[in-house]
Amino acid sequence: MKNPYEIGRLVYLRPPEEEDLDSEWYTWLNDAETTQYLGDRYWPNTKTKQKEFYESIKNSKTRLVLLVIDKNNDRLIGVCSLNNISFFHGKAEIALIIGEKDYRKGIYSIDIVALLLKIAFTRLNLRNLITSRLLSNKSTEGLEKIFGFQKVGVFKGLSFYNGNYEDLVYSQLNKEDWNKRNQEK
Amino acid sequence: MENLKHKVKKIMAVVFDQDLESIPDDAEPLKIDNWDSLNHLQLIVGLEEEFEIKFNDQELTELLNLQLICSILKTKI
Repeated sequence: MKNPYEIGRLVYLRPPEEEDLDSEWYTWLNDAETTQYLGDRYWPNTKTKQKEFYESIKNSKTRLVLLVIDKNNDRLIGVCSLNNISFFHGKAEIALIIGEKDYRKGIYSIDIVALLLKIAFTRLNLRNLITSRLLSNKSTEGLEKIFGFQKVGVFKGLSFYNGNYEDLVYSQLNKEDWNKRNQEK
Repeated sequence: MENLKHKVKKIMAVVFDQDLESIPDDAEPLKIDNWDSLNHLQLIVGLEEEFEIKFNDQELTELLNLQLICSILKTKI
């Protein structure tokens, strides 16, 4: 493992380095299937733009971006992040992309979310995590459900997807509920 | 344990849209066509509802196959 920040069962998370700009990372954001549920999925991505993004996040204290690495072979398979971090309010928004499609079967997304929650609540001492998803995004809905996120609100018809305007669903997980669930047998 | 395994297989059969008899004792994602990431999440939700339990984060990452699912359930019910 290279510079692991948090280690899970199948993957570990590490901060991106400049050399990662030469990887497949930037190409994921041009793939229609990979980006179908992302808010910013319309404009093509390039290595140059990825470098600009990297420069914008490498010293950021409001956005923690971590690469997802397969523990077995050190392969870069995805990226995850805590966005819009506010240490004043103790909150952040959670996001993840599994770029390598053969890793979408199985429990990789569960491993990644478990690590992000641990980082948010124990290392960064945040109090609340927020997710937003399109109504039709059943994978994220399932992750929210098993990790104990509670639906807190819906923007009706806010997001254009597949020819329709879909509801945007917001959910929340607070540290107390997370602690409680992880202390129970 | 056999009764528990049978109950889990019944949930798997519904979630993965398979005949109960086609769920092997060593069931895992690579051995069942419909065991994709979305159905894996549905399986977890189905197990939590059927057994009226909640898995913690560590347990969620360990529910890799039928045998492990039964082992973890055994500690919780």
